[in-house]
Amino acid sequence: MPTLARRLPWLVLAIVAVVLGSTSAIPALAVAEEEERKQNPYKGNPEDILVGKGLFRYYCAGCHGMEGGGGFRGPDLVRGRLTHVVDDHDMLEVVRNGIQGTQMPPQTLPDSNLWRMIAFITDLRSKARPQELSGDWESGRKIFNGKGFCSGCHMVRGEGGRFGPDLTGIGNTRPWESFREAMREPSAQFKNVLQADGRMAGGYESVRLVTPSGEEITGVVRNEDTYTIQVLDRNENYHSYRKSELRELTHLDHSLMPAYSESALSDQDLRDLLIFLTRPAGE
Amino acid sequence: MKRTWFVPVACLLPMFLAFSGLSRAGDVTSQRLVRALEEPQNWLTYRGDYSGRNYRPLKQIHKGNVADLRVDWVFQTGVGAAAKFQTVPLVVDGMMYITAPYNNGYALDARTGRRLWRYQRSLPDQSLCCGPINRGFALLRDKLFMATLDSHLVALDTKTGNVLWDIERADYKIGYSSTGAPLIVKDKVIIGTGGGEYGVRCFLDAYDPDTGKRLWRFWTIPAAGEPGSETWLGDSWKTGGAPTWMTGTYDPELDLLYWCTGNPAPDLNGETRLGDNLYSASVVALDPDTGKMKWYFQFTPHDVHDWDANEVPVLLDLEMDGKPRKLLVQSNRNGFYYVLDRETGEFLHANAVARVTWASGIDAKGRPMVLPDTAPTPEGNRQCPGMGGGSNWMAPSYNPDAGLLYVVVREECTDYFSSEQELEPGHFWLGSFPRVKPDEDTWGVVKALVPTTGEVKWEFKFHTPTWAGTLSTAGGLVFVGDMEGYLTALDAHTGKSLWRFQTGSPITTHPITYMLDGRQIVSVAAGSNLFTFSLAP
Repeated sequence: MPTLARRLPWLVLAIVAVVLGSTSAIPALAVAEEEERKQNPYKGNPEDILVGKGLFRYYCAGCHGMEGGGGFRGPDLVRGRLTHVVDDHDMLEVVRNGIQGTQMPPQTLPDSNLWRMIAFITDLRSKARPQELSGDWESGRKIFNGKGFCSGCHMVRGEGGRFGPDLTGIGNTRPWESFREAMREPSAQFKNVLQADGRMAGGYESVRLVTPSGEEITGVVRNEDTYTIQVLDRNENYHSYRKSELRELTHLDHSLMPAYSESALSDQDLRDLLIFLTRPAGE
Repeated sequence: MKRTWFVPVACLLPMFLAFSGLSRAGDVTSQRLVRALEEPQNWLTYRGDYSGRNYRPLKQIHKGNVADLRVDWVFQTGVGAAAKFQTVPLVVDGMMYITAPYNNGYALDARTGRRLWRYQRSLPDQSLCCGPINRGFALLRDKLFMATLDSHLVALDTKTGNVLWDIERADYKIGYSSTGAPLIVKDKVIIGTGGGEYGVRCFLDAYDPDTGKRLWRFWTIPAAGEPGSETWLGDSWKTGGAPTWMTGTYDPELDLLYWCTGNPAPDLNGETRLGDNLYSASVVALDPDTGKMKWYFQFTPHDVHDWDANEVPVLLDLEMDGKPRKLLVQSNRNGFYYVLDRETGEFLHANAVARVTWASGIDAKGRPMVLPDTAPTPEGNRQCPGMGGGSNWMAPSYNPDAGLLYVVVREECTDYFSSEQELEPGHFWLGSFPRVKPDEDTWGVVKALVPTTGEVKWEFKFHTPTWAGTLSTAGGLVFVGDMEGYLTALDAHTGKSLWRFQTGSPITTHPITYMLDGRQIVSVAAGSNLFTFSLAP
């Protein structure tokens, strides 16, 4: 990973500094390294942050949300832990080049505008409350597989259901507030998830349909076009229909994920769950 | 075997044809382009003829047998650019010429889809609006003309793809680019420019097909002191955009060239360019010999929503109020459908064809009655149509038998944000940032209009707002693509879907049709492939 490669010299320097017990020989090296790391020239400037906000909404909000708070596809950039980014320099690289193996695309804007977008995000991050999460991993695992009924629909690290999105790693990109909202009010976030072209994110829109033989099916839309629709039902069966042959087709305005009240799962239960979702056993 | 007689003739011909401009028998001349509809075996210009009707009087494929249409061949360019393969092939006596993204060009054997030559251009490493697309060649005699993304005009030899000349038209580094197909009129190569998002002053050019020498340039924004310059605040005319990125139409009888212009720049912030901003978001009628303007009509004065008027100016001869009239009609990105007199530019009629929130209607002189508080704001202002239109550059088509005009409309609304933005040459300069409303349903639709009244006779809905244009035929069919990859044939009279084929990629161009070996063919680009259909022999 390029990020790790870039962090390594610092690690080496730090270790060397500790081992030597003296920093006298180090500053020259450190300064040289410092000069190669780009810094955001627009950081903290209110006018540039405002321009950056506009740019962000045009280029990024489709996946990351209007205020950078994330969606199904793009992680929360404000409160989440940014796995590919340590500093401004990394942020510029990531925004400019995208992230291979993810849906994060490259942007071909001039650096000045990339920096302004980054200034907007950095500003939001500086104002966000740091995430302090304490919870019990084992308790979270039990809730996931037990009273939360999560594993009936969701998979984590290769185990669980296939009806809902795979939640592996989601704890890293979905901070506590956002996670809590997703559990308490799943339809609120469902409404704001967009594809880059402005369409609702595909794959988890929900429908109820009545088949030609009169069978009623509720499920998530894995594809829909002008003529056909393909739906995954709760039993993980695929159904494919010509829309014209259906007796009824209703697009639901809510997520099929149940809303969890405090009596069903307490806030501490949710914290435990998030800890479980954040890392594998033993980490 | 059959053609062996041709060989000695072919060897002798070049000696006689070394002189530029000399025509051979079988050459596509300007005269042939005027009568393009009389050549059922060919598709000679971007829109098939000069009128912009996208109509062919072919009816071997008709309502009764279109269900049997199937793929003849597929040509895979291998040039990857999802949803960006916007070419419209030219078909000339058994040859097919197509362009592809990144300014690739190909000659194909129209019978088999096999490649005869390829042209590849090396483009600079700079992002130009709006991606590395190209909409097609123009053809005259033995030359093909391609406008390139980096703002050159290239002439290729039809037999080999060899470059005959290559000229720089404008500086791509400050944002000029070209994506549209040139139009040949009276032995001139007419070609517009993009750049409306980059703060450059745009124009329309005519070139000598044999040498590449520029014959005239029409600036779409008058310079200081010229008539119309008073519609721009201060020096804003210098960076005012008004691009000419789509191909125009031509009336050989009136000898008038109709070309449409795009948005003023910056797109969504009008504070620095107060005034009507002529001749942005307009149609201009030009003398093709000189480039001099005969009349203009501005659809959206002082546009602040990026509502380019580059949509096709369709030329129709119809009776209106009991009199035969030469009309120019356009379904505009601002959500209204317009009928003009194309001899004078007189405004005759307009009505909304999409949801419109920014104007209460069009007044008797053709000027929109703009509602208050409809401009972009820093907080975002929801308005309809969305930034993609209303209508957009997707080709409409006309069926004279049904008496209907088929227009493609995008039903969506946008949050229009505004913010100040300084101009950096060569970079996007929108002055604002739009966003499609997240919590509203959006869809695409083909509407069949009575051209003189705008009355909707039928409509066909797509799941998603589409970027594909239409083709009409005498077989009573309207062919059109959609974003989920279907090429559909609709009943021209009722809008009923009669046939469809899943191409596997969004379709973002219009199909063509022509006769080959006695069979009617339909061709369309999708993904990175060109599909060709016919009835089973």
